[in-house]
Amino acid sequence: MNRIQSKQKEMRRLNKERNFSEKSKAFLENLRLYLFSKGKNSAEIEDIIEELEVHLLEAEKSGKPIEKIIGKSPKEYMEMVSDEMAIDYRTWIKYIAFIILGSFSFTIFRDLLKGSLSYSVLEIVGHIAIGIIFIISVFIGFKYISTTNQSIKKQGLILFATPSKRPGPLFFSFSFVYSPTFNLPASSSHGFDF
Amino acid sequence: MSTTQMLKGILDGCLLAIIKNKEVYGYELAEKLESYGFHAFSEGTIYPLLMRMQKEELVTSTLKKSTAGPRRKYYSLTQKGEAELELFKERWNYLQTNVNRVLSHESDTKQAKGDEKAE
Repeated sequence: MNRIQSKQKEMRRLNKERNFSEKSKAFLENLRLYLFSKGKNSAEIEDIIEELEVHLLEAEKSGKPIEKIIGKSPKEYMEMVSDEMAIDYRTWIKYIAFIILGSFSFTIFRDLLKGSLSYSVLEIVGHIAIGIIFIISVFIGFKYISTTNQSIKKQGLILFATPSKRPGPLFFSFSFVYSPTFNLPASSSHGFDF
Repeated sequence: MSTTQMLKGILDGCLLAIIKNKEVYGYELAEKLESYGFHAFSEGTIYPLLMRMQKEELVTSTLKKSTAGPRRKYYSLTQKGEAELELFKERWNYLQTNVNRVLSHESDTKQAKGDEKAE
């Protein structure tokens, strides 16, 4: 049942895309990204996207420009929509927990295999802090991309270069700071890369 | 865009009134508003309003298939919505009569003053 539904959805999407202007498509994608970065519920996001899709399609058919629908500033409009939606804290916490646990699991698993499972408080707190900084920077990156009109190349640069490389140096500098002050087991003293 | 500022609270009431008469979807609503003479506003502004009205349980929505393209979200009024519409009508009548009274009276007196000076 679900598979059929998703297939139908895909078909419909393909059909729609055939007569849908680039501008409208880009706007809807940006709106989705913006609302996601604002931590809104994904079902609700899809709801409003679908509704706007209908509207934009019909407006295009009768020859109205997108500005007639969303006004002169897409950013302002996105904010307006966002203000009416509640933040989905549950999902947010899930994401954060997954990412932090995910990054933890690498170190834990490796150390488990080595047979030395001991971490300092600094290590644990640092790990969580870096995880949170990483998540926040990614979400800020999302929000920035969705509200400014950039070329695909620039968007990729922002998304993949800036936020995702940030943990690297952070992890590095972190291991540099603590290792002289704390006497840690040899196995975990240089293990801070992903 | 001072018209949009002034429209903010009023548009809610207009939407309720249109939805009350007939189950409508977003695009239809925008078209209706336009046909009544609201040309200046951006059509998309109705969606945040509809979202809020739905949260406040003034309207409910159902998704319906359409012959051409994606599903449409149709809105209908709840009992609470109908009560809100009545309240809106009262408030609007109150505002309208008073604003009209102010404007017509004040412009009259200005003319009168002008007449006095001329004499």
